[in-house]
Amino acid sequence: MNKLVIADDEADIRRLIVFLLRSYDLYEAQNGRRTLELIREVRPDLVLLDVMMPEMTGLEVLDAMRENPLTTSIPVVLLSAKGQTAEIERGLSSGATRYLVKPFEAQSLRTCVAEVLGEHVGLPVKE
Amino acid sequence: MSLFVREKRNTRVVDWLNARLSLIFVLILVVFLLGIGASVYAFNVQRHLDDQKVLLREDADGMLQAMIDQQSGLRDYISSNKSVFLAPFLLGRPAYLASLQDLTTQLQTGPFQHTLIGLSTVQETADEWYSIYAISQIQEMQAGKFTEARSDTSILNGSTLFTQFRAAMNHLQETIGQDLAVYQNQVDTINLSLLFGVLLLAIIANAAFLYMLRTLTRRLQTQIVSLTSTTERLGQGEQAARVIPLSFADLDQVGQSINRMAGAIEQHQQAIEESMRALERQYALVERAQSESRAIFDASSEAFLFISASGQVNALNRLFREFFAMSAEGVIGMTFADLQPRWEALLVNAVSFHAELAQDSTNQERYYTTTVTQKEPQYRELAVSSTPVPSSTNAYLGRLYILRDITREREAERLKAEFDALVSHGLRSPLTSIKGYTDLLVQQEETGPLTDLQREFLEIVQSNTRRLLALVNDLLDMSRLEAQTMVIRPVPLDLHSLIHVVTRDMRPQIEERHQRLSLRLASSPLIVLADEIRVGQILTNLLTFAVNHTPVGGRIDWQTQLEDAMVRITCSSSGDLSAEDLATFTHPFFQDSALSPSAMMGSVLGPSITRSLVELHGGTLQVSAKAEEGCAFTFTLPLSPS
Repeated sequence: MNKLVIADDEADIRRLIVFLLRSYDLYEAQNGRRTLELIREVRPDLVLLDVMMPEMTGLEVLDAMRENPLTTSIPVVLLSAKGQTAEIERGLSSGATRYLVKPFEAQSLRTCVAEVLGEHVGLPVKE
Repeated sequence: MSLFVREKRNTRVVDWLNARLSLIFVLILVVFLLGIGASVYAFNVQRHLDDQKVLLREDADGMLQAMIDQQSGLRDYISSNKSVFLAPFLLGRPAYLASLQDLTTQLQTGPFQHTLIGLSTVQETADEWYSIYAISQIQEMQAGKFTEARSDTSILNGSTLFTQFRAAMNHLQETIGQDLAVYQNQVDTINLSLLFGVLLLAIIANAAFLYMLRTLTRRLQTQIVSLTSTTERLGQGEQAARVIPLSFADLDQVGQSINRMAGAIEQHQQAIEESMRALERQYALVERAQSESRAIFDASSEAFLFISASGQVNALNRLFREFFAMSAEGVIGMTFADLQPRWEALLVNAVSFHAELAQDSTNQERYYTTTVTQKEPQYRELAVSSTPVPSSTNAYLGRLYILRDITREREAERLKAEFDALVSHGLRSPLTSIKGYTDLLVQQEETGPLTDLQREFLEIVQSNTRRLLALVNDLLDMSRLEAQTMVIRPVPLDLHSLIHVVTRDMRPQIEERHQRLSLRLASSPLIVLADEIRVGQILTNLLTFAVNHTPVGGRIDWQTQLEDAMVRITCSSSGDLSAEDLATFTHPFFQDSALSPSAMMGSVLGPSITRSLVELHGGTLQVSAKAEEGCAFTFTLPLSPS
């Protein structure tokens, strides 16, 4: 079963995402620092990363992941309430695979996750 | 006036002198020749007179001798009766006649009236002696009448007649003397007249010569004085002084040269004065410009510090002095290296700024902007730009530091960012939850069945969530448009497929209102250069507006046209727009009715945002509304260069 890290500081939204993606093996984090620890611990197949989080923002987490060779190839889907073109570009240029703007449609999230995981089937995401 | 010729202007001094000297020479020559002629004439006259004196006396003596010869021959003949003594008598007569004839001829050529009268007396007495006495005596002798011939009576008679002749002869010689004396007088008078005449002519010639010389010197003097006085006046700075026209052409030429020179000097002087005045005017202008720029410099809302090419503080404006509590007197003239520590001490974290400043001295071309924070004497955030100042010939004059107080701007930016974050995060995050859970509940697939009433109410929540979300999005857009932080990313995109997508998404609302939608698109695909999300937003907003303002069963049209390098997109409908509806395109909050529940999909901000987005793409949004024809929205997008 694919392991996913869900990072969002809002418990309600985490709960919603967890419910929608309950078919996967999920790990939750409520801030940026904890997310990074969890990623290093769990080595997930995909990270759903909120951008605006306390302690470390999603983009900082992303940069830290890309600096670490163990985590640099893990695909990341950014979730953000910021929908500006510039912000989306900023996220994708930092190495995010997808960028979902909140509020999202349930189906969009599921399709997006499935697509990103499907793209990476067979790739050496795990040791 | 001249004595000889009225001289023309343009006579040269030499020519003038030549003409007059030639004339004087001719005059003197004439006088000289006349003198010679007169002398020769006088000499000849005198000689002729002298010759005549001799001849006249010779002739008179000849006549007397001839008569004496006749008388003595006759006397000897009578006394001796020898014919041999008759010969002198006979010879004497022709000699007398010859001398008479000669004398008569001589007397014709001169003023000898008295002599001629005397001569006729001589002639009469001689003829009397000859014809009355001599001839009769000879006849008597030849007749042999010797006694009679030798009688005292006859001798006395003969002697008386001869004495008469001698008396006449004496008288003649006296008259000759008298006439000759008169003649001599006449000749003397003539000679004297000639002498005086020649002398007079010589005097006249001399006088003319002197007069000419005097005229020449006077004229020369006048003209030379005119020349010298003019040059003196010019030399004393009297620029208008000019040489008057001079009668001697060569001097006049000199005068004209001086005049030309004076004219040139005057023009030159005027040009110099003119340029002096121009310089003064320029100086005044420069001074004015300087004080103006100083005023502008001081009044500027930016602080300036100008460092000269040699690294000295050259100028700083009022605001700079205020910012850093420095006095102009204390700073101007000091080197930038000395100023730098004082300046940097007032800044927070000056290390990176110091590094920037260090590069300024090595790289003159460098231009950069940076921000620094000032801690003393007052907290400020400053935007610093450092720019080289070139002269008009591109020489490096120095470096200008421009400091702008951006404390308030930064504050405003922070506030705006906070607003942005508040709306984005603070509103959209809860909406994410509301929407996510509501959608799940309404779908019932994963959360279990609902009663009809529950479903109806949840659908109301769902719809209002959508409206709220649209409003939040519009608020964000509006805020960014107003702050001019909205950025568009134009990429080539297929306009028609975008129209299809937007139309498909709106299909439910259109069908709900039984409206007819037709697409009248250009035959070929149109690739425009535009931001996909924003053009999608424009199209959605326009279609939403059209759907909401078109009555049930109405008609909506999409139309695209290629126009030069532009694509014209029109959304028209049979809906009737009120003045208030039209106004929403220019004023976002005018349409109060937009908040009514009937405007299901509409937003108060939609039209205004649409117009701004079109303008961000370099186009304009045109709205036309006519009661019979409905309304139309037209905008343009640039065609992507293929």
